Amino acid sequence: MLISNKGIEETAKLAKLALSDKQLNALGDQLQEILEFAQVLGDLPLAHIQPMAGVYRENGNGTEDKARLSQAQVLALAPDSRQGMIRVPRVMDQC
Amino acid sequence: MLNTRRLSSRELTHYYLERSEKLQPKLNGYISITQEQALETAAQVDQLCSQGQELGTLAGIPGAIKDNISTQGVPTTCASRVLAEYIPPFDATVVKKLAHSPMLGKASLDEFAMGTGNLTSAFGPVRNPWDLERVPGGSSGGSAALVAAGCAPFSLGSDTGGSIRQPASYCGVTGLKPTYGRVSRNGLIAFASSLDQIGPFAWTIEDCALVLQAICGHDPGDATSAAVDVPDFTAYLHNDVSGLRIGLPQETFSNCPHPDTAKVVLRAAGELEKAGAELSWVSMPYEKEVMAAYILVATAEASSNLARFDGVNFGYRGAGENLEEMYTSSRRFGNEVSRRLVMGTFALSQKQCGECYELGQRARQLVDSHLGNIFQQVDVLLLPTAPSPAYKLDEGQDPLTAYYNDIYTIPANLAGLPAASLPCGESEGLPIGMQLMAPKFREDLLLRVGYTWQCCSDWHLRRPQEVE
Repeated sequence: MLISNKGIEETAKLAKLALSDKQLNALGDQLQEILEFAQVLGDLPLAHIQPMAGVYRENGNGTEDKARLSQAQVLALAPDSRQGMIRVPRVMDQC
Repeated sequence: MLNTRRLSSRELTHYYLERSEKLQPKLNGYISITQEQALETAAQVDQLCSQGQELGTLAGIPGAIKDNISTQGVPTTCASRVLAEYIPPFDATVVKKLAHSPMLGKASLDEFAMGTGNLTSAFGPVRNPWDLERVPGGSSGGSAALVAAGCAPFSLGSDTGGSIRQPASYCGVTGLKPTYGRVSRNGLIAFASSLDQIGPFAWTIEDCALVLQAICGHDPGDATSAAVDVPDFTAYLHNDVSGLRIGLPQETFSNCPHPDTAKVVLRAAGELEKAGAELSWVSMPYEKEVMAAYILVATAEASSNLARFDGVNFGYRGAGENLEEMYTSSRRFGNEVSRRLVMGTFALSQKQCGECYELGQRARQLVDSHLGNIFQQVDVLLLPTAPSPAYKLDEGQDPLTAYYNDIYTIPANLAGLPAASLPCGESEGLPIGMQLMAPKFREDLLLRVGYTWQCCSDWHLRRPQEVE
């Protein structure tokens, strides 16, 4: 068993996904099958091969750190905002 | 005809809009049709042309844009409930580059570009114009179907594991995935950042070359955009493959599960040999390993990319007494996306599988090196685009089987290589595509072989009767 039901629940929580019991059960079988399949990589001679993060990245110079959207544009996208700030439910359980 | 003013952009755009509206109930190829905006752009282009302004080759030619590419002021949903109401405040770089092409609408896709059949859109599946009971392929199923049905002369799609090429094959059109970095990803809502590329669909490789020309180029706004010169792609449209070395992957043809597919693609290779190309067998043995590497890498990157959809700054916000509840109620993805996010989070999580992602990355390097070695022996690889023609909408493939639909296209994404699918035959009335793969930044070879193929065949001229 490469991934337990508890493992899936924990992983879903990390991914901030609320899944029903039915979804979790279905996922369990599917992920088990996928992970078993992925074990083929264990047969490859990979020990001395460098991980490839991407095809390439240009010289690493970042773009200039400047705002490309106005505050008004950003706030217009926000589901809830007030006084120039984006509003969210309370972060701490008890204040 | 536009250049000689025998037809105005407005007339042309009106024609495609009418056809799009007419076929939308049958195909469901669009998520939104942008009639007003398209006609406005067309009118502007006509005006500029009448004033003698020189505009780009695609000026006035309308097209459809996959709905994971940001369009200012126009909803960009990624076919997801999470972004159903999202209206980007900016245009993707490719959209800016096509500013004079009237945008017919936003083409449907699998949710967040994850899928191989365009079945997972929150707005309903897309249907294949060749057989309305079959899938158009995915994830750029809408983009492919719209061109196939004559609703758009060209469209843009995106390709992470085959999402341009596979639907091109299923829909009997030409689709091209450029070298990673050729086309800016700025404004493309990311699925897997090291794999995604935007590319064109059209009936012909020639038209694909024209669109590619328009959308290519270094973009400082995309850190992975390649600072390489953009050649004149149309200069490579020669009917000449003399001496070109074409490699046929032995294992791919031997193991292809659909006999007609292998036969048809080999026949096409034979025609190219008659035209002067040199064929040889090469070995590409890592089929399962390629798939496994892709699953680990792509889902891990998706898990990271889709973390931003948390209901805080934009997109759908669900109810919640506290932040945690708000996060989980906001992230209402479909089953396929949820599955990949759990898989990807698992691959990245230290507790569950600390080395999963790195294992995928090492396997990726192996694939890249292997392909590099192959391209010392041959100029271009030729193989089927997909293991079979389009499957039925209600076939109900399990996840692993569905991922297998991309088995032949994934290597090009892992290595960042350019690749194209061109119609090359049919099986029981369903189109079959052949895939050409070339070394990095050698789109010229794809265009040369593709053009030669389309000079000596007529598969790209056939039209689906279902939507006539």
